[in-house]
Amino acid sequence: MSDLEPDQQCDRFAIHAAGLTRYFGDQLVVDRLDFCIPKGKVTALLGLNGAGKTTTIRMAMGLLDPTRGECRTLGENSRELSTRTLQRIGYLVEGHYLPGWMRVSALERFARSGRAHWDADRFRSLIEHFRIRSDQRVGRLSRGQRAGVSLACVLAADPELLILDDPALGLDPVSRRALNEALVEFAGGTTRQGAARTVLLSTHLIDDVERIADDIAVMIGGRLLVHTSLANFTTRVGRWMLHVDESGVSARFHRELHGLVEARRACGHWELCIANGDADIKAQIARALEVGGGEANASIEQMETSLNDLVIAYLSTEGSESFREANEHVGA
Amino acid sequence: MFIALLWKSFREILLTVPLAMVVLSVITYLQMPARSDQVQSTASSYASLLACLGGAYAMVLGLLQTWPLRRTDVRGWLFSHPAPRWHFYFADLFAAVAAYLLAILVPWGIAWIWLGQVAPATRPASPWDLMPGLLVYLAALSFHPASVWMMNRPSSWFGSRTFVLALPGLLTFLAFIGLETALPAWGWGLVIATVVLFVVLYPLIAGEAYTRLSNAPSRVYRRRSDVGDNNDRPGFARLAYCVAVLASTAIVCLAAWMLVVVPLDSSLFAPTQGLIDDVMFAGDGNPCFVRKAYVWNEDRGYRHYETQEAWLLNPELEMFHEVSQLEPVEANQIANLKQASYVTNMSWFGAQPPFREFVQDYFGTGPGGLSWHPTYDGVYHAYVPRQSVQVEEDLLQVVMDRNGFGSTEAPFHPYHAITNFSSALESHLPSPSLTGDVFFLADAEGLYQASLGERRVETLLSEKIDGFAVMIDPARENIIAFILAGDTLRLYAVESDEPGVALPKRMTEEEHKRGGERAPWPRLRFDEQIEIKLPPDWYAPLAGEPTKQGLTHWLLPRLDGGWLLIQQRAMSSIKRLDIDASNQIVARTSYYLPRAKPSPLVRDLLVTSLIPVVTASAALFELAGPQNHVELPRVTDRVLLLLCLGFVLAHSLLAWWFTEKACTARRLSIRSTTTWRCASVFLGLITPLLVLSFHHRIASVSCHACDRMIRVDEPRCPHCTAAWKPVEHLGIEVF
Amino acid sequence: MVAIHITTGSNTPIFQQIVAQVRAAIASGRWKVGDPLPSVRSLAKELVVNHNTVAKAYKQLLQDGLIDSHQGRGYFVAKRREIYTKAERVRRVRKLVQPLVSEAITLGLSSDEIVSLLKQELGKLRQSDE
Repeated sequence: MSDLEPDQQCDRFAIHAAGLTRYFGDQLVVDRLDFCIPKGKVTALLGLNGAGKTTTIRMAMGLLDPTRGECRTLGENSRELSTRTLQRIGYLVEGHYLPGWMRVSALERFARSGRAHWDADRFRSLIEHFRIRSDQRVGRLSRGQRAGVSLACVLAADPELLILDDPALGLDPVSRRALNEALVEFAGGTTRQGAARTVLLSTHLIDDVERIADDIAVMIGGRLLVHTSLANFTTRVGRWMLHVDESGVSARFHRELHGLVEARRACGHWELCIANGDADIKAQIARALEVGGGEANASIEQMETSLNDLVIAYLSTEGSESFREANEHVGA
Repeated sequence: MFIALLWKSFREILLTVPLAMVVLSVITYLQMPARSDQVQSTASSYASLLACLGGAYAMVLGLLQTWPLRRTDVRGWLFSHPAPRWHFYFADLFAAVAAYLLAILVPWGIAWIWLGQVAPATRPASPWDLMPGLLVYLAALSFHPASVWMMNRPSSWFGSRTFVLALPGLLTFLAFIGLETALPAWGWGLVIATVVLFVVLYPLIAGEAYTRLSNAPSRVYRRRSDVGDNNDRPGFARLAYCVAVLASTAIVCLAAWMLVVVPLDSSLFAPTQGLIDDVMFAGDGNPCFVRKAYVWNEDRGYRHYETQEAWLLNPELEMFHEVSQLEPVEANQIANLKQASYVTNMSWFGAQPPFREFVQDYFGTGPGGLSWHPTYDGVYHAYVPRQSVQVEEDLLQVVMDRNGFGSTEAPFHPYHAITNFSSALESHLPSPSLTGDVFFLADAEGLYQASLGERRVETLLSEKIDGFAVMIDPARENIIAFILAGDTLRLYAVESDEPGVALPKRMTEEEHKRGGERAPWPRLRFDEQIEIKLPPDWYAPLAGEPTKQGLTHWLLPRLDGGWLLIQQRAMSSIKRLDIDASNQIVARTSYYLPRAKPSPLVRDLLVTSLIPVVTASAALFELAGPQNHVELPRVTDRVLLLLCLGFVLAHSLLAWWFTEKACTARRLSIRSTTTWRCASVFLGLITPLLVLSFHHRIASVSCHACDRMIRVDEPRCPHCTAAWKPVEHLGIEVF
Repeated sequence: MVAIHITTGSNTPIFQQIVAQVRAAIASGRWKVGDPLPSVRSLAKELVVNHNTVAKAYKQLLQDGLIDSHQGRGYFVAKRREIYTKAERVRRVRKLVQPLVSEAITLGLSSDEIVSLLKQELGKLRQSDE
């Protein structure tokens, strides 16, 4: 277990994981994660269902103990978060669970009871934003409204760290926009104490990520493959079009071409998604083609890409052979 | 925050309160003693019902509070509120306790007040009869933390998850039994201490499970990281947790052991089924050891104990001799064996279970056609049957003690003074009339005569009485009362104090068999005749006998006039004192009774080999104890003993080996493996099963350095101390 | 004030979309010299984009000399300044002209047609200037 140096790290990072691993039975869900979520940034956590996003977030929130490794949230070991630290964190669970028997006003009373600060105006304006009356019973609210109340309960407490587990899940476009608006506004400000606000959100909506996130993190099969700024991500990963016949892109080619994220046959050509390509990427591709038994002088062109394309290329690597080999092998 | 949590917890279980209250009210209503002249077993049945209902309600509360927390979103929502995890648990606990108490206190309080008003005037009962119910209900509250604990355990439902319900089950049962039986002070202390201990400990145990185990750590207790900044967790909660785990394990083991061994024991070995041992006397007064069976008698038309075999006791034989060493009584002589007359023991009185006022085991009509119910305090209450009075009238007719009717100042001691007198009469004498005006009482301080008509209690004799018997002197046909007090035996001539009214005569066999006619007795007079000094060591046990054993005395007329005073010490020995016609002690003989059961070794060989070595030694010690009349085996039995020990040893070794295997399969640490190994010595073959069910399997992978399997939750390889391999890069990572 | 419109999921990063649209607005003269720009926070809120993205776009515009920042008062459209040499300016435009020309040729347009198209565009700009 790698030891963290708490004194140096806790000031810069909101969440800091080292060797964070979680098994459920024999199933490896989170695999040796090492990451730091810097303060003041909006980090979007992307990944397929079951990639370990929720498990990671639960471990960071101290709701689940890691099998090994550790995670520090706001400088504190997440296994024993103190009340004071919890007061600085806002957490929105997947599916926006709220006790249905409560009324919105009662829920507000409940949510504010443990908080050091409570911004009643913000709460009111947020629930108005989602068109909710405070005498409504929570169980009668629509999913979008429930998301709004959850968000209001969390944001009114003026947290320093906001963790959202798939907040857009099941929301209609209008609620989603309202949610994004609230998030953008929240993340742009500072807390009452002047601390920068940090947001970690897991989501499947890449468009929203593009709008509201600074950093992007992609989890595949319990491992973290990408964690960088949006700009760096789009710069470091490129897509290339390759005009060769079917046989050209063999398994051998896959092995030879370092940084190949995905090779996909589309409309008579191959689309390659390559990470960390160097200046002479064309030559590199050509060499790999040659070794793989294909034509040496195939035409290679760089393609225009959007964030969407790149993220989808990454997500589709889950389950690929090379990926499985690198996993920890659970023996009987 | 805590207040808010408490409010939320309470609000979430609030709906169950009226429901539970209705059920408890119905139960309480149905269990109230009816208007009657008989004592009803309210306390026990109410307590047993409340134990079940209380346990169920406590469990429902616990499950209601913890079941939703199995959902990750509910957990996440709740526990992300800034409060120590213990506060969430205590909020649930306090809310549950409040709901639990609220549900009982209303019906129970009403029942208490109502019963206080109608009893004892219309029924021999007291509000205190409701107390055991309430206390058992409180003990059953332990099901709440137990169910919380159960829900938060990582074990499987088919494994040991539900084990922890055994402990509150036992606690509730213990409380119930403790309130049902008259325990000595230390026994009571033990019961209370156990129950209170767990009532205090349980919330800690369940809280530990709620706060720690529900985070699904892969090991129950692993090393803490160096930042122990969360100070809201009491450290001894973990200790309590371990104690409770052990206790539950012990209970489950015991239950499992009993499930296997007891049916095996009783199905394989039933040597003395339906037979009881007793002592009877031959015509010349020689004691005989007899075996009786409960058989159907064609002539009499009912079942009774009939002597099957008899042996003459031999005063020369030592303790623990076998029946086979005695001389059997010939079959045709068996019918002539006589039963001695019992000397009613005044020092015996049924101890009072807590919170009971009326003695429960007295039924039927007494003098004046009334039902006479003594309280444990020694005051008689007489009730008329319900049918004979108007609905609104009281059933209680009269209260009586030594001072007379209406008094409660001088209670009888022991309390069953009427029964004492009638049971002291030789079976051939008719008991005092049930309808008559005059009846007699006997207690440890004297003999009394009560007249219902005159509403007067008269003291006939005022002296210390240990034992009391009234017999007919066969030689002179007069009635003699025997009073045993300390080391003296006093004989009194019983005479009629009413001129012209004779004492009732001895019943013939025919009359006796018909049940006897209960002729009215006149007033009595007791004239002291003689005092016989008993030998100084009369009460001392024989060599080798334990001192604390129940003594009973018997009387038997001698053929040549005079009496035999017989003292029996449990089923251990007999002392016989011959008193001749001139009231002189002429002889004194002691007999050991033979060993009751045949040699238990073959049976125990099988039984003990099924249980682990420590328990087996305890069992052997128990078997060899003097109470069981079993001597340690003689030379011929030693081979068997060795065989038995061999079996036990083999069993233990097997248990050890299987435990070892189980621990390896679960890849437990060296420390817990050692602990379980030691446990296997005590628990036997059940230990490996416990290991498998208590420790859920944790995935293992092979170490990249030494290639041996290591559990994935080890911070580093325990074999080669290599750290975990960092993630291999695929080349597509962007950081 | 000119509406800025953001398209997500396109090949152009959001900050570049902002830069291009502000640039176009200034070039077309819809935003005049000295006009205030919306603050980073308010623009971020309006567009529902991360304020860091807006800040990055403004930083780029500042670098290109299109806007000025006055401490404490916000951003304003700057006077046109020549921050690049002539050669650099030509290089930058050529980078844009090259794909234009190749695309037009591929589509079968003649040289005159291309030139007249360019003239048309220049004409539009002049019109809106007046």
